Amino acid sequence: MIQDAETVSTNRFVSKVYDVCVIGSGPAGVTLARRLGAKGLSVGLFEAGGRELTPDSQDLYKGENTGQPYYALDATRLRYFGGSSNHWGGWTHLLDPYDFEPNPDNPLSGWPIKLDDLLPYAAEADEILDLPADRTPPDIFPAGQDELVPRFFRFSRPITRFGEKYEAELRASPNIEVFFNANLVDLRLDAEKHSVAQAVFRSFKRPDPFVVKARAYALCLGGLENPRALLNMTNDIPVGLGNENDIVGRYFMEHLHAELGKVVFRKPLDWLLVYAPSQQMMRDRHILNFGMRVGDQNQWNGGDFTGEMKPVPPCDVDFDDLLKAAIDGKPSPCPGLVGDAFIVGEQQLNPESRVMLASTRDRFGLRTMELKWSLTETDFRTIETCASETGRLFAQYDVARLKILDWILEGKTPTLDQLAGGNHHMGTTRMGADPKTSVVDANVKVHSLDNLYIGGSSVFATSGHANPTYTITLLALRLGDHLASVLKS
Amino acid sequence: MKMSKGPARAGAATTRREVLKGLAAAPVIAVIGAAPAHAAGRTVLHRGWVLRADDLERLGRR
Repeated sequence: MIQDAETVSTNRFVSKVYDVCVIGSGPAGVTLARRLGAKGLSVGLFEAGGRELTPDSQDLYKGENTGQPYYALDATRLRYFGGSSNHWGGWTHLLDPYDFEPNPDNPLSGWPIKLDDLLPYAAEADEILDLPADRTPPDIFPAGQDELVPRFFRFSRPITRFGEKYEAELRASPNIEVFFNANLVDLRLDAEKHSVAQAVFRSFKRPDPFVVKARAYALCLGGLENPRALLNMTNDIPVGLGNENDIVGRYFMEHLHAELGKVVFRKPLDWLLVYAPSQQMMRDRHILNFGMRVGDQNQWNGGDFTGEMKPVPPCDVDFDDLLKAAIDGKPSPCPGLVGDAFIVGEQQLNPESRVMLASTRDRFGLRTMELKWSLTETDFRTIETCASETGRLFAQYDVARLKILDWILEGKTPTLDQLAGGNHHMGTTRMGADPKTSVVDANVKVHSLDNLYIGGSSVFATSGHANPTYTITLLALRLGDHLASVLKS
Repeated sequence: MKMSKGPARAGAATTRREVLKGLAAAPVIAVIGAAPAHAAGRTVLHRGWVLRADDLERLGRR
């Protein structure tokens, strides 16, 4: 069933107690609701926006950037049914096993779970995201080269828009009730302040709020909005829910997207390969994880790109002629062998990189967002090392030659055109065993509350370099199983 | 797209960046990595390009 909070009778909520109140209908919220519904639990799924994008809803994402240059906050995410899956590019990659381990060059790193805890959900995540089978990368480097690890991306085809794909299923579900235009304005605690007792919502047009009760609550609002919601809920806990240790909103991470330069290949390689450092290389160079991609930037950035690259036309020009033309800045006789190199880098955990509340308030009286994205020297060292070391290995093994951009070579401050994010908002309610350095535990439950859970990339303890949607989906499935186990016991 | 300006790149230059700056300032060639035993040749930086030393020798004859 899908209804609109603008018109639904709110009397229906007076005596109703859902098993789980899921707030937000992006990849995390829809995946969690479907998992819970399939297990026979009653779910209320509350989406702040409507079925389609509206200015009234999207305007509530406006905020202020005060740190590293970043995208407008009402452009880097979407506030309607399906959430930011509506502008997802479809890229997926599995985190590396060592992303879950502590990295000495990233203090506080390490997850309280392992990749093996998520892998049981991989087959179902593949189906949800319409992913093709994984492919074995070709032998690009000779045996014994153990610094760069090539792997393939997988693309969602067609790209999973969670609203579009699952609307009919949710409408028909006997266990899931979906409500559009339901804006969360408060989470009220019980008398002991140990549990959430009520979620309070408002629609855009109706003057009065309405109250929803559930046995458990899951915030799935995205990596920026999850902390903003928690920080705004100060009626019971003055510092904000889950924020007793001043961690909510801190450790905001993006994937560092930077063009490294031009690449000339000796022979065509699959553009969908990503080159990542081995764990040993990370340790030796004191860097974080990265994925270097090479390919045709125009194809990658095309709005209809779904993971199929145009084939490289045959070209039998001598490699030295290709290289000389490239060095001299002349048009390439074999354009298909010239590509752009990019890094998607892991960002170091930094408590000063954070989501905060601004002094202005939105139409519902909640304080708007201030995002202060802050990078560290380790972040820049990872970018520089990625460029120099992949360039070195490409040359030494005669795979390709890389030209490194001047701003990287010269250590200049990058502009937003040179260094940006991927619209990946991570870490702001990070997972950990210690409440002093994390917001949720290994089951993504807020440490200080018995029945409030968080879905989405805000719980990532570290970011790795993998695009987050796949991990978000795995975590949501796992949370569904956990909640079903808890609520049925 | 409306964007706000953030602070300049923070912190002192790292050792790594000093190495890279040195490379950029070098007149023609600088060694940026000793090749492992199983790889042919050394790599050099030339006008921003990471090349093999023998690349420059061959290209110089053209």
